[in-house]
Amino acid sequence: MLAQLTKAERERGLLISVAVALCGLVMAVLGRNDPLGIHGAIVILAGLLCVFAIIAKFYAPEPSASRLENYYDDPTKVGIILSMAWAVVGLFVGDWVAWLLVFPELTFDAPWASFGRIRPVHTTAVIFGFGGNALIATSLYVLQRTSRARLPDQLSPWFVLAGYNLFCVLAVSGYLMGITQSKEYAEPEWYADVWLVVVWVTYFAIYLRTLVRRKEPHIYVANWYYMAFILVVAVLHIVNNLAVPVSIGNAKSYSVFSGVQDAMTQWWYGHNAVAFFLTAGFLGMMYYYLPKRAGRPIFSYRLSIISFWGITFFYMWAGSHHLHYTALPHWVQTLGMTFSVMLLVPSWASAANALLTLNGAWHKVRDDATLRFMMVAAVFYGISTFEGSFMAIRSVNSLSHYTDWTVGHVHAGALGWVAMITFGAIYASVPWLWKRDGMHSARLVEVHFWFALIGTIIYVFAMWNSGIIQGLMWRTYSESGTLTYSFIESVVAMRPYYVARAIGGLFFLIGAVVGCYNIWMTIRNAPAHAAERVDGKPDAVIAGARLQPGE
Amino acid sequence: MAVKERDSHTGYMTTGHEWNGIKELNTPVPRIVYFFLITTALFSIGYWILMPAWPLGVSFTRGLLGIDQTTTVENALKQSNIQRASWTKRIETESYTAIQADDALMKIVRQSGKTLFGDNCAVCHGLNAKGSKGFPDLTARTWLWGGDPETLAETIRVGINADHPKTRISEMLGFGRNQVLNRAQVDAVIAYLRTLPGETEKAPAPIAQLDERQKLFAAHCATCHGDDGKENLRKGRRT
Amino acid sequence: MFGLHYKLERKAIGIVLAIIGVSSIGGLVEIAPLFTIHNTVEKAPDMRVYTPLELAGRNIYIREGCYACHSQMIRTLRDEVHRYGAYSRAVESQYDHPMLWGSKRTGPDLARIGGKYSDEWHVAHMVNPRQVMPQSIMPSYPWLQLTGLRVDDLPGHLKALRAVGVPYTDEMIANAINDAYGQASPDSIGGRRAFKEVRKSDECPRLRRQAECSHGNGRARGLPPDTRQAHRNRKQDDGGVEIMPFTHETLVWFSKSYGLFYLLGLSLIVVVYAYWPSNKKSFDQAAESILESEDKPWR
Repeated sequence: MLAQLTKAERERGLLISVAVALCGLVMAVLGRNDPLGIHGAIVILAGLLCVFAIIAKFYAPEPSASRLENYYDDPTKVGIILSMAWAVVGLFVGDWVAWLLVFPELTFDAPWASFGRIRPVHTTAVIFGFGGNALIATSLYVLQRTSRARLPDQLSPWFVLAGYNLFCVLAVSGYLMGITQSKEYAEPEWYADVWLVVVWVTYFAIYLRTLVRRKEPHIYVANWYYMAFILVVAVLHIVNNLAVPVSIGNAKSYSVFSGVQDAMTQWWYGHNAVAFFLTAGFLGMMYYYLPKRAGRPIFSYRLSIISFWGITFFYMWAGSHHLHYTALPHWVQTLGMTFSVMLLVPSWASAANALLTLNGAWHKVRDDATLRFMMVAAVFYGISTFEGSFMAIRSVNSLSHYTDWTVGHVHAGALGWVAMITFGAIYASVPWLWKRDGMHSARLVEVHFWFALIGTIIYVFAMWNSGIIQGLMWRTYSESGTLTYSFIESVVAMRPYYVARAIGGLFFLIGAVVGCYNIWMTIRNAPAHAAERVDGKPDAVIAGARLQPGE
Repeated sequence: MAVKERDSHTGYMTTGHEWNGIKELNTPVPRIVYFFLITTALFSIGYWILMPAWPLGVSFTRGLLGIDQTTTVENALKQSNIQRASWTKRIETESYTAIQADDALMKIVRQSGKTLFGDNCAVCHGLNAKGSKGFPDLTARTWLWGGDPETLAETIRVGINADHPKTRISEMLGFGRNQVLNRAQVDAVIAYLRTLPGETEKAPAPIAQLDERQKLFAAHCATCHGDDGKENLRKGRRT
Repeated sequence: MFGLHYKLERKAIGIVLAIIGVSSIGGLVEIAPLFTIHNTVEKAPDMRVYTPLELAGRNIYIREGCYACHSQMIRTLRDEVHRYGAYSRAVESQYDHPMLWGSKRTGPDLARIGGKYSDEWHVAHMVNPRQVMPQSIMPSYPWLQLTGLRVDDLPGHLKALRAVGVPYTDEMIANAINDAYGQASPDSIGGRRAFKEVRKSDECPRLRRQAECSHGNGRARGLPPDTRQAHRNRKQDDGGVEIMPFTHETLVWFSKSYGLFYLLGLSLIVVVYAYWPSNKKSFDQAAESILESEDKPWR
């Protein structure tokens, strides 16, 4: 794969890898008395790995000029494989964490296995590992095709992919050692954050450079969303992670914000990580793969515009609904609540635009599990955005906040929307990328679909029940005007739901493992006649993988 | 570049663009979208007028209703105090015998007491009050600090070894922790205590060892618990 | 509106700028005023900073992810006040970098747990929660008893916190390690020695977090209470925590609020200017101007 790089790119790649390894060395030396040293070692290892990978192909012949006639999909292929690998890891840890609440002894008294440490491993592995890799992989794929332009160079996408995964590895291994900022969904410490900024700016540069070189006069909706995802996540990440490290040789840092300002900044970040990482990015994905797979035009261009700008504007106000009734001033809560309510309109407009696009293709939804994944994702997107706006109402939030209802809501979005649309997009693009007729087994896609759907439903229903029961038990008053239940009674009452939730998670995990097997078999079993058989097939978009002459 | 065409299924025109085979219809935005946008916006504006909402540099709009969450909760708390006053006043003023004689009042006491116990006491004494390992069993009715209601109330009020100025102090030292006695010696004292009358299971020990244990007891424990371990526990009784 | 958009979506930079513009409004309006509106954080002169040992403990709380299951924020709701105590105020977390308000109560709120149970209970509960509370689903933390606490970098922690606005004095920073020993085990030989040094320097950097609810809580066992009291009085007398009209703190919050957004905005403008398509030509020319003149004699 790396033989595709030009000689100059190989040299630059080697330089960057060596530089990364040297940075690792500095970290290891300065942080020798600190967990930072171990991260230094990991960085050295990652740098050296890249060095060896490049050296192995360093003297391979220069790639032919004909490569420029095709889109550059190698990083996308690797990204999809990495994404599935992270999915299995993240879902496995997630289910383990779920079982921990049923059997607290499952930590085996090991520091790294306690709930507080592996819970962020779960969230980071699924959101940033699985979701992030899927976004990077599909965005590069979609970007090239909807711009009808090849990526500007071949090195920077590899840098983004490898660098991003290094960030994820640093994050996850850090939590296991106890390195965390304690800011939810922004737990990695300062050096990992700085590294992510470098990676992210490169990612943005790829995007902008490709768009500037595009052959289509208009920028497609999917790219608006991907752009919003990249830009806003960058701003959020930088602002929320501003911190002063204890020293250069110490992993620990202290956030520049404190107390109420920190809370607001954190949930401005936290909520918009949901908005622009888990929503905008995946809407971009949906806007390409859903119409493509359904073979239908987008229902309404105008609706796309309204929902895009509505989401971009309204979401940024909604973060304070995570802090209803807290020490955050009342006025901020009011703004958070009202904008969350208004946010429902553009959110539902997006969901409706997706579902109405399927008009005229519902028979395909019935027959094709891949398209059904995307359809169900759009439905869950609608459900969870409604639920989100509903829970943002102060009086509802007084019941739902701090309970499992929030957890259920997040998973309705994460499993039902994010994971489903990703699986759909991956099942659609694997045959396109590896030039196959279709997936190894359509039946297994079907199996995965039902496992995923059943798992999600069990999970969400369990958490609705437990969350509402919990919330009600905490606020139930007896006739005499005193609280009826003690806290520990609510903990005891949760047990059956925690069991159900863990089983639901297990279903989802099994589905993902089935998916991995299916993808692996699709990649491995290359039909000898692949190149000739692409025409006239439903997946014949491969033909479109060749660059068409510009206007 | 593709030209505008009519979609056969919906009958709408496309925008005329095509991206890698994807086209867009130029369907007008459904009325209902505007309707809901306007409705939610109107709701929000109304809410902003009534509630604290917009920042103005160094202050913010207070809203016509003048509501603030802190005053709301203070009022709710006052309200609930008034509601409870009918029985809390009686508990505060009446004697324990009078309270215990009133079944209706005791029903309230038992209910609210149970929750308070669960939230505050159960972490040591257990939800069923049987006491977790190392903490007193409250159902056994052998009270270390006295079992009549007044004394119990005082114990709860001032605590044992707590920060309250009038707290009861349990003088039992951590012999092992302070390294007054080593591990073997602590075991020896325990074995000796088990030989004392009143214990159901007796572990007979060789006289020579017993001697040694007795000495330890005499040296370290007898000042509080009496020479034979039978002294009253209010000052140090063993059972 | 759609016509305008039809033009906008033909320009990559246009879309980029529009996204940044539209998305930054919400955050600016909601976050920046939290630094400027006066009564956002209440005034509480006796609010004290964390002692080095407390800070180390707080960092363990962070390290073990306790915030994933425990909140430290009692909301302004009747049932929460009845269950956990007085609702939390913003000032209580003003020195919390970062805040640990939490988002989930798998376990109960901990905002008012301080001093409620004895240290011995906490040890037993940490080692195995189910030993004291059979119904608990909290993980056991037996290794906490076996791992040593790193104290050599405590002054660095205090310095970093001072850099972000926590009013630690030079003396507090200098005595951080001794204070930690003194507070952890005043009765031990090491602790007594350390404590003596503190006494010698006639400075005891321990202020109670909230004076009114400060009937000790095992935090500073063994410290003579008069020292604490004297120190608190002194602190109030010279008004060390009061904010002057324009002080270092004013500058810090200004740079952390408006200054921050100003720099962010500025850097964005620079990036956009650098990548603006129509500027490409002149930049390219500038870059290649050296090469162009190479085949000519220097003038």
